[in-house]
Amino acid sequence: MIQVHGLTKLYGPLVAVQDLSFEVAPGEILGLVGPNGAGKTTTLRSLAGIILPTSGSIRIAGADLASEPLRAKAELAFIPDEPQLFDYLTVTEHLQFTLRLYRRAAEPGLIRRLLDDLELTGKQDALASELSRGMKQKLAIACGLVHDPRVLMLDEPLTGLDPVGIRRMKRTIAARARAGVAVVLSSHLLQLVEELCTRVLILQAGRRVALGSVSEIVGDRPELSGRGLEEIFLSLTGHEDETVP
Amino acid sequence: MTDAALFLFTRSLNNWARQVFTQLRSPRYALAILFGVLYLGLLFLGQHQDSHARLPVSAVSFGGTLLLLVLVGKWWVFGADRLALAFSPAEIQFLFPAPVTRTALLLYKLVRAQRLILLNVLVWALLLRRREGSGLALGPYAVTMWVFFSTVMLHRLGVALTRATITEHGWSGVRRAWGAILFLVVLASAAWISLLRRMPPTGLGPLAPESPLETLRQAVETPPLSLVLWPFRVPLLPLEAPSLGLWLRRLGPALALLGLHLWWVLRADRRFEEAAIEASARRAELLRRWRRREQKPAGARRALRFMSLRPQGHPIGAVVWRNLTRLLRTVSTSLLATLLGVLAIGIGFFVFAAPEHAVLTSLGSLALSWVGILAILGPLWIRIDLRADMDRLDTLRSWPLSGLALVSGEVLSSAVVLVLLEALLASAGAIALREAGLARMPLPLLVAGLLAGLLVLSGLNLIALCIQNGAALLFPSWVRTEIQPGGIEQIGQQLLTAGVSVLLLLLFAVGPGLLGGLVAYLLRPSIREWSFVAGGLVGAVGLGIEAFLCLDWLGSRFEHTDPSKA
Repeated sequence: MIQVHGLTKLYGPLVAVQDLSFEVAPGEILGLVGPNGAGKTTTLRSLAGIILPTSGSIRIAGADLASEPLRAKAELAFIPDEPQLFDYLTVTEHLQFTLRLYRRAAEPGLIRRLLDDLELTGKQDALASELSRGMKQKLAIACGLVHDPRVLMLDEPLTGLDPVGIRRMKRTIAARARAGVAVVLSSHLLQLVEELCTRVLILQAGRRVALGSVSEIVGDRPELSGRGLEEIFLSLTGHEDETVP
Repeated sequence: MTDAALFLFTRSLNNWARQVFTQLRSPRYALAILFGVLYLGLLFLGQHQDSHARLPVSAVSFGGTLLLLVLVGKWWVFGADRLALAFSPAEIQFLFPAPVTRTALLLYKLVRAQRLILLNVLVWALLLRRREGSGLALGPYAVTMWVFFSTVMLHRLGVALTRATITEHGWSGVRRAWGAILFLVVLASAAWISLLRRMPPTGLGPLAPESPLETLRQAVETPPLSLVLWPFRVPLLPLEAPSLGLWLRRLGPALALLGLHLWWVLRADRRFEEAAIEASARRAELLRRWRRREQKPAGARRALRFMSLRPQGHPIGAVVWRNLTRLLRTVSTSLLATLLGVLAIGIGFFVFAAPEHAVLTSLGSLALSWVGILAILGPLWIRIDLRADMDRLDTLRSWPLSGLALVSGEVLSSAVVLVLLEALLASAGAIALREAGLARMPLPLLVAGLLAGLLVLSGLNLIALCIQNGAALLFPSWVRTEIQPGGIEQIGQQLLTAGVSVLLLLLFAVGPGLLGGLVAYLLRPSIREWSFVAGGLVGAVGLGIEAFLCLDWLGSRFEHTDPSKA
């Protein structure tokens, strides 16, 4: 569903991402982890078509993002870590606006169901500027899901959510994956990544350090066997000493 | 995209109107709207009744052409146009990952920019048309201004897109601006030739019997400069049309130029997303700082040695130190340069007006004028106090300080700066005027007057700052500590707040003023000019006592304020 080949992104002399290649199949959840400045957000933004790669290719649901951007973008949703909403649109209107942008006719009851799922019922007529941080995050998530994307990209999706919201969000991501959606999830919460993701891509300084399921990564490096993702991450990113309690 | 954009615009407008209508039920909001409408109405009526100070329309058109030339030159050469590509954070989040073409994104941006353009057209047509002395009717005038503003906006966007594209190709520095530099060379050559053609036939005499400005204006109408500048003059030429028929004929080329710009902006599928994201982030940051009246931190290098804080001492000192350090570290060099520039222009004006002792006279007059300006507006401008800390009230509340100590420290921070500035300016002004021979008073009288004035000003400043801080603490929704996007109601709110503040200040000043005056009057026979100092001192002490009572009360209010509601 997602095919990335040789993705490189330069900002002047700064190399944000270098020669990155990976694939995400339908139903798979790929965890994108790495220290600050590793290139996670740049990778996600490139995959979402927000920024353009310096070189390399990205295919979304069979469409090349550079030559067929509209076909590719129609199949994806990007949910950033900081929700940015229109001050003078209500909760329901945000969802209606997103449906129009993606030219999707909403099946009856879809918006109500989404609002129920994300505990936004009762706030459907509130303006975005009247919502709390957590509510805004839920609305941004709802906007990402309402057009039923085949590729879902989430940047720190749990920021600002309460425990119930976190539980529901995890369930939603897992359910979408079970329905065949390819998910890329970027997070510093390694426990979340370990719990939800089928594979992990570890980045450092824009380069791929490891890619695969935890068992595959350990298989390549027997010295890491028996360790959790956090210890594997620290070890692979050169922070071995931090693993000692 | 059209469908979605239309939905966004109409629903946003509808929700905004609904919110305004709901707020109108609040008497406070309704009153603010009423005052705002009255103020704008008076402005509008004033423009209609004022038959003076009208500029000839040809001068407006000429000035507009020159301004356009400067702006376009700046955009092309220095590239100060990136913000033209900015979108709002929500637009970036929703529109950029959506299946929307680049052309559709640009069209969306152009349509959205119409909001600001139409507002500008409205202001010019209703408030400034008469002042310009334009003979055009309201409709044709508004259409001309719309074409002008739209062409300028499209050109700015076109420059930004072109520069974003050539940056993508790795061009930098002079290479990026070579076209603009070439044009400037052509322009300068054309200007020189046209100016020479305006000279007398001998070429040796004075430029012309007219003023230099008139000569320049005529040179602009003389080939080859008129040909080079033609595209810059076209949008404003309809303004000078004396009849509707001529206006229509002149509007044609202006519309053609607008169409050409539209084609230029939309013609190619150019990559602008990254430049747009960068510009949007920059604009969001600028907007945040502007709303919070913040300057960009100038860095720790601004920490002065004498400003270091000792660990021992009264906490009020620490509060004042913190606020003063913040001020010193955020005063931007560009602001200082602007102030110096204004000072230079002011001195230039005075030198021109009064050549004898011109520099001293101008410096003295300027300094004393600024003392007056600071006395009135200083408490509104200098805000390194509670008003700058309203979003940190919860942190302030957690400090082990009484309300009185904290509020005193905050108010004193602004007061110290204000009084220091006034003392410096007043002393410099008085000395300069005396040296220039304008203030022919004995030195003791001058010193006594200065001291008395500064004592009274200190007390007044303190009271004025107590009022401003008190208003921010007690009525946070009335006194805007942040600049919010707003309309007529904000104008009305500011008028009302300013009126009430002045009234309160007068009330506070009456008692100490009378007392100080009485003391000065009674002591005048015995200690002569020094009675002013005694009177000023009594007045300042009276104001100080009032300020202390105010601070004590505000301190207790601060201790009972819920930070989440402030």
